[in-house]
Amino acid sequence: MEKNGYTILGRNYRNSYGEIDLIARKSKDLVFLEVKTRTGLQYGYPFEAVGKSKISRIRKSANFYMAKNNLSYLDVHFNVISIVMDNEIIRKLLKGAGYFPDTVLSENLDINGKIEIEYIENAF
Amino acid sequence: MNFNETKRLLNLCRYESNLYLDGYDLVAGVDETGRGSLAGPLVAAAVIIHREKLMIEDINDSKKLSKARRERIFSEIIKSCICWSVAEISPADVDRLSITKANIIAFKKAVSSLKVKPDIVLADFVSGDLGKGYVPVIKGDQLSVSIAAASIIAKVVRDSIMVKLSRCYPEYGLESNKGYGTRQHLMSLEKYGPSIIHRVSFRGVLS
Repeated sequence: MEKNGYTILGRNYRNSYGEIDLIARKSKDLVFLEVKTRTGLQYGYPFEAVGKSKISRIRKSANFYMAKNNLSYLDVHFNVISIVMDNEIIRKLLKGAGYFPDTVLSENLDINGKIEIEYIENAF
Repeated sequence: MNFNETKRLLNLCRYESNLYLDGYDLVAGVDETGRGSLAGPLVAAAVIIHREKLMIEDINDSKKLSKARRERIFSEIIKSCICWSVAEISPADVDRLSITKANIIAFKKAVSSLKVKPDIVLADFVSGDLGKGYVPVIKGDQLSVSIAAASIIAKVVRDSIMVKLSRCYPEYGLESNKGYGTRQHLMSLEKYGPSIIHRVSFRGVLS
């Protein structure tokens, strides 16, 4: 997904402050990514599920990560990727297994249903 | 100064040395004390130690030093540093803001009160964004001279504040517990209730 020049530093990073789905870096930019997936819009768009407490936890977790790894001098971006897909696709993906973002963009998948992906930079 | 002490101090100067090598001219350290106290202010201190005078014998995290040692090192720091400052956040403000927000504000106040402005500040890690110009160090008061020095200044200053406060509010034993939740302090709180300098939002203060 973010192999357009980004180095992946961590996946499902966890510490006592919270967890972060993906941490990536491209020279001076450090991105903390939250991935949200939904099968339909009945409960709103996926990015709407990133509420105040989640944001707070991600910020604190990111803050600790940067201090621990001496990266506090980088420019920080809190991004959200919002994915809406239907059950068909989920079944196909689960059959294939692996990380969602990679498999979604893989050409080998034959997707009949619709996928709506939104990449929101500096969401918070 | 024996060899082991020299080695220990050299390690404590690591962060500062690296920053000076990176081209910074003035490195400050900032730390606070009184975060967990049930009464009294949160006190933060900032200090800029001259890069040639970083090897202060016996310097350590204020919590690891005896009162006498701490006060002796405090006098030395005060005399030989480029500048130092303290900032206080009142117990009422600690109640109003979260302890972490109060901590961050205290750090910023202390740093901006320095007579000489630093280029970069080593700060003991807090779980919030300090912004540009700060290098957060986890367990900084044990790993950096400047932060350790700041922790000593903060502790000595806050302790003297608590001793003065104990004369106005004698029921709680503040001259010895410094506001922290010792058994004796908790019993006094049960007996007399909190005073105006107690942080009512803290657990154990209101019954």
